[in-house]
Formats: sequence, C-alpha cells, structure tokens
Amino acid sequence: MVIYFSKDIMFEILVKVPAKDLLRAKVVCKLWHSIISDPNFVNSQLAHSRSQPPEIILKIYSSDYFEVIFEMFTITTQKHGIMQVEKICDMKFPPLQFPCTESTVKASCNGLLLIFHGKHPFETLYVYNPVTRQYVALPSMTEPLDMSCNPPRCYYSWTLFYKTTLLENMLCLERFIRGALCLLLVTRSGADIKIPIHAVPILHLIPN
Amino acid sequence: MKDSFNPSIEPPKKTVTLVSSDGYDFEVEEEVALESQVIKDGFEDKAVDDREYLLFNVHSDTLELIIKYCEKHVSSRKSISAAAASSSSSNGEEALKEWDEHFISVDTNTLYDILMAADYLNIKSLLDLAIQKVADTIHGRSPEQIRKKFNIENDSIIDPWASE
Repeated sequence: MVIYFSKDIMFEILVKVPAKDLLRAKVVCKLWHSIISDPNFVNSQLAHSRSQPPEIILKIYSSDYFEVIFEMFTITTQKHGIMQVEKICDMKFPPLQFPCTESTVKASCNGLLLIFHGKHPFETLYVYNPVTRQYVALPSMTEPLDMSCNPPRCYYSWTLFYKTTLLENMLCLERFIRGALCLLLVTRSGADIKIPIHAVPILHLIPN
Repeated sequence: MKDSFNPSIEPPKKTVTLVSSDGYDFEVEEEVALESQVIKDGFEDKAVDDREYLLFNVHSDTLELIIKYCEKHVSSRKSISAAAASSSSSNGEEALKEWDEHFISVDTNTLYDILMAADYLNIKSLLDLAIQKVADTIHGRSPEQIRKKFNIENDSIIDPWASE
C-alpha cells in the first residue's frame, strides 16, 4: 500500500518526532528534507520538544591523523529511572561553518565541545555546539590552560580555570540550570559576567 | 401544565445518519456526530429533516472505528464532568488515555485510514492521537527502514550528518 500524506499532515507528524530521529528522517526523501529544513518547522519542533522531558546529548570522538569523527549519543531516562544510551549518528569535524584549519577538541560536556583553535601562542578557545553549529569565542589567554577535564571525555559539567589578558578571571561553565547553560566569568572584584550560550540539552535543529 | 411536562419521559435522542463511502448507513446520536468539526460546521446549514451525511472518503470499516472513538469520548466527558460536579475523585481522564492508547494500537493500514478520516472529518483529538502514533513509528528507525515503512522512494539526498 502506498500512502500519500499531504505535506501538512507530514509536517504535523514530523513535528512530533524527537529531534535525534529527525537527523535520520531528514535524509529519507526530498519532501521530508524540505519539511525538516523549513524554519517554520524548526520553530514548531522547538516548541513541541520544550514540552518534552529533556535529554542530554554526549559526543565522544575518535581521531585519526587528519580528522575527528564524533559519535553523538543521547541519554534518556526511561520509566523507573533506567538510563538508556543510544547512538544517533557519526559526524565529521570540523563542519564548514567553523573557521579553522588547525583545531583540537579539548573537552566535551553536555553536548558542547571545547575547541582549541590556532597555533601557539595565538590559540583561541571556542565553545561549540555541534547540533546548532553555534560557537562562542572565549576571551583570549595569556597563560596556558589548566583544565579540570583532561583527557577529553564526556562530563556533566566543566570547570575551567585560566587567565585572560585583562583580568585574572576564573571561568566556569555552569551546570545546566533549567535546561540552559551559561558561561560564568568570575572576576577578581567578585562581579559575575554571564555569557549566555545557546545550549539547551534537547537536540534542536536549525536550518543550514 | 401537568400534561405538558413529564420528567420521566425523556425526549427521543436526536440522531444523524452517516453514510460511508461504500454505502453503509450508520445512525449515531447527534452529539456523537458533532465530535467532527466538519459535521458541526455544516450542522446549522442543514434543514431539520435532512440529517444525512455522505462521507465520500471514509470506508465503513474506518467509520465504525471513528464512531466508536467519538461515542467513548462523549460518554467519558459526561462521566468526568459528573464526577467533578459531585466532587468525587475520578481517574476518568487517566482511564480515557489508556483507552485511547489501546484504541490506536492497530495495524499500519488501519492507522493511516484513521488518520486520514480524522483529518477529513476534522476530529482534533483523534487526529493528534493518530499523528503521535505515526510519529512514534519513526523513532529509532534508520532512513532505509523508514522508507520501507512509509513506502517512500529514495530520491537520494546527500546526508550532511553522516560520515560514510
């Protein structure tokens, strides 16, 4: 039996599909691809997924000489508190949007990657969200990094300590608070500077 | 006054006749038929005697299920509001959810028929139920499995996420 759902119905169906499955669903056919890539769809899916229980995405990567390949995993809590880990897909690194020729992934946490970009002594640190392909450059450093999470693995929280050129700051990546993640700069004077970064632990899609 | 009002005799329930695409008549109570927004919208326009709806897109097998669903929802709603009025605790909504889940656990073809009929008749809650069920079938399947399940031809898109 061949079924032809109208585009509207297909839209409604796909909105209710969890985003991790949408990555796969996107390549099913051209129609599905066009629906899932539509900005309206992204917004609808986002609205729907926010009403769902959150899931945390981890990426573990293996590296050969030239490229780094990520594996995306989700952790979902099932009934009775049983954790389920599921692989979503492999991803190449770096994606095109990310301006780098020489980059190293230093750590990953809650689906975000901490990326070292450039040659010594001009390294820049980026916090990169491979799902939304957004990144934030951290303030430049005067001294080498001393990170609490090395070697790179998956963590639920990061704490970074490093010195910036302007102030001796302590930079912490805070735990998820209500699904959002903030970079917290604690300055000497005690003032907190919060840099918001779009990193909701639910997998979201943004149009290319 | 005495003659004109007798509470022991209920007025006869108004009924509506729904005719399936294969020509079967289904006589249902008016409030059950009104679960369909399409029938509800058309209701005022109809002459009093003409209470017949031809549903060209709904087969009798599907229509039977749809009516079963609407009847259940009408009666549950009544018992839920009755329980609320007498402020007695009720797990009516929970039970209805369970009933829905059982109702929609059907084979793929039937599910698609229900979905299309719910869309055609504009029965919002049933449409949502069916859509969620179809969406659930996508979960955890590979693109190839999805194509097979939905009978979709692979018109080859390059996968931007895969690393093959």
